[in-house]
Amino acid sequence: MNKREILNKKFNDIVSYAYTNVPFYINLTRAEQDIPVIDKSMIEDERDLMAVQYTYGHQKDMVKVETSGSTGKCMEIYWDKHEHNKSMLPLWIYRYKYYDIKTNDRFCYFYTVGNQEESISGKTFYEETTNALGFSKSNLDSERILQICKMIKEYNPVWMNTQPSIAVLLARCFKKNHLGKPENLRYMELTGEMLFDSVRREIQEIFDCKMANQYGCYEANSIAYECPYGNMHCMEDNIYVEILDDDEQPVMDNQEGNIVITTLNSHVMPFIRYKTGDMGIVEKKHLCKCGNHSPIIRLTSGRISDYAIMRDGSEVSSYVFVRAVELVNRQCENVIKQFRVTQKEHNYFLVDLVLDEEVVDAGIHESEVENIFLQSVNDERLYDTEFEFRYFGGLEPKAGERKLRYFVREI
Amino acid sequence: MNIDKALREILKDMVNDETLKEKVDTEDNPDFMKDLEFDSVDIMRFVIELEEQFGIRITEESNFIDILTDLRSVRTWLEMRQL
Repeated sequence: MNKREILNKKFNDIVSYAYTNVPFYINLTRAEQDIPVIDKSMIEDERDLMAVQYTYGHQKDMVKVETSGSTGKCMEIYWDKHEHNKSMLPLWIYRYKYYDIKTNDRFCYFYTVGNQEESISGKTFYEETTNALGFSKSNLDSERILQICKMIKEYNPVWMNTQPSIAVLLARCFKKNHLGKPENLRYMELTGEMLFDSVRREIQEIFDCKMANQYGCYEANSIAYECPYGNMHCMEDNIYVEILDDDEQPVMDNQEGNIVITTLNSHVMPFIRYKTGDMGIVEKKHLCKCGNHSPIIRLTSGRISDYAIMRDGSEVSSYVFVRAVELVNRQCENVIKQFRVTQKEHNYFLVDLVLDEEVVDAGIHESEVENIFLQSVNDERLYDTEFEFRYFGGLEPKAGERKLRYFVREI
Repeated sequence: MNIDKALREILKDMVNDETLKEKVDTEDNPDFMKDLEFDSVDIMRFVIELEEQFGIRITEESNFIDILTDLRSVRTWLEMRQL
């Protein structure tokens, strides 16, 4: 079998497995030969039916990850431990192959909630492990950014992994304060948001190192990764990618459409023909000089981070709201299913929430959600701000948007 | 060079636990993740060791994921490369 036949077989195998073993798929109406396209809203109400964790392997071999909520919707994802590791491996291999990044190289990253007790509680804004230094995305005012930049400079990482919006803040701070780039820094990986050329140039100018764009999601881990020739190659060992039009029909090569993925290595919670909410173009026939023959994907719309603007003109990263939602969900059994924060005035925000009715019925009150949310918004520039909470049965993207944006600024 | 023996030596150096070391010695075909409890970072360490000892870049292979599953698949791949 050639590579294409192997991938088709993997796709057919996981589809067949899912439609035989996973209640969510078994319950889906399926015409002969037709595999339905699904999206996050369909899964939300069927979470218990999506995973086969009680029948597949043992509980101790399970890994649970939570979607960051940066799409405005929160979800728990279950993996078999070995399959989770397997899905992470291609990205490590390509980092090494393309950019000579090894697993023990020192690196810096940014987190929403953190992995250590003190960083989760917000007592510290950073966490350190053997070869990594992580920083909180919250409270990134100019003073904190400068503090972080100095720490990065001193830590002297070989590489950094961050969102483009944060990389820009760092670049501007390094430039403004004449810090000079960390000597050992030779690679930056940008992920989690659309990467625009202007942003890339601004980051490149300051850090003067190799840069790669990585496109992924918690449901699948890495979907595509940029080679040194500037092409984002699909991670075919992990993912089967399709581009479909709004009628869910495949588009021609090089035509824009909805990005739909199928996870090939996830038997506990398989995602079969899952609409990511992003738009893109796929080029299957190409002769990329890097030698990787897997399809090239170009994102045409995706997640965009934004800032709340304070009266003094300073910018507060909207990740502060993602963090607040994640902390509410940690303490309240994932009660928030969807959210959107809208800045109406400098000191007035609307917080639109969709709560899980079962969790509410089990005794989690709206007031508790609001209190934890407000306590978790840990940027002092927001302390004197008014937040008005509103509750809905569901939230839809606004007109002209493909994907629900979790933060909207109207000033 | 006895490839099987060399691979088992690399694996034994990588695991700390005595039970796992014994598995490397006794299992006919240890699976890296299931038997030796490797995660993706451990497998990358193994890849780098392989390249240093054998002077061959496994990352050039398009099916490296399938090769990097257990001892037998790596041994077979190395033997074919050395023919």
